[in-house]
Amino acid sequence: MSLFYRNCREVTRLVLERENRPLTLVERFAVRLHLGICLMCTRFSGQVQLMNRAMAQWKRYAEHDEHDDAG
Amino acid sequence: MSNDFSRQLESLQPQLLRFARTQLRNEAWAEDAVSETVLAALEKPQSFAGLSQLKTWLVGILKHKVIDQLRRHKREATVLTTDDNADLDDLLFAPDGHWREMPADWGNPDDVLRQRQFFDVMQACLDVLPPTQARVFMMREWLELSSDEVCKELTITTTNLWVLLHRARLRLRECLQAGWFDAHPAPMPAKANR
Repeated sequence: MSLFYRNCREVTRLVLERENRPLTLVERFAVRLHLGICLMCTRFSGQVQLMNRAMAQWKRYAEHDEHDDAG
Repeated sequence: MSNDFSRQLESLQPQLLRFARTQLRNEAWAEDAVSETVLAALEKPQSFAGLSQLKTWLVGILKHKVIDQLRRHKREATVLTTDDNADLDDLLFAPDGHWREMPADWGNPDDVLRQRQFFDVMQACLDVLPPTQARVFMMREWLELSSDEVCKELTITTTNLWVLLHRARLRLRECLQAGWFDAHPAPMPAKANR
């Protein structure tokens, strides 16, 4: 099919992979095209982003907060 | 002052140990990393404006000690379980490449991340990740090492690392779904302002 066509399985992989490496231009465009029409992958991608933000915040809480949680 | 310092150190030890456990997933290594951290701190006592500054400084030392442990035990630290090899893609996708199940709507991230209990669930989820997945995931997320650095420290290939990281993210997603989002579904989108 087209240079930019990716199925859900491939898009999911790319969504995970972009946490490890910058995607190529073609890959980025393919992901954007796919997410534009696929609610399921859009949700998955949102979940990954939420986890990223959550990890960053977890780090801040855990490392710098003064809350008492000995034990 | 030095007495005070060691008392403060002691009070922070449980928190340090919790970090070390989450990252190392081995009780003995975690205890070693924390004792080494405390020893290093005692060698050059400093005064800090508050406990939280002291903690930041200690966590900085701990990260180095934790990497030492990972280096020392890299063979054991990278042992793979069947889960690490399991093809999670197959759990998510039918053979034709379509989703088996609709991913849930996790709602507005700001609303989720405002809730303190969510982070307790996340901590619990991190602690039940398969150990090797947890180690590499935490090396990226907590120690903030690059992929290349993780591969170098543990002597694993980039492909191995990526597979482990993908598994870790999918496992974490699964656990958060079951532990949080199933009980806290996103509000219906049609609703107007609260």
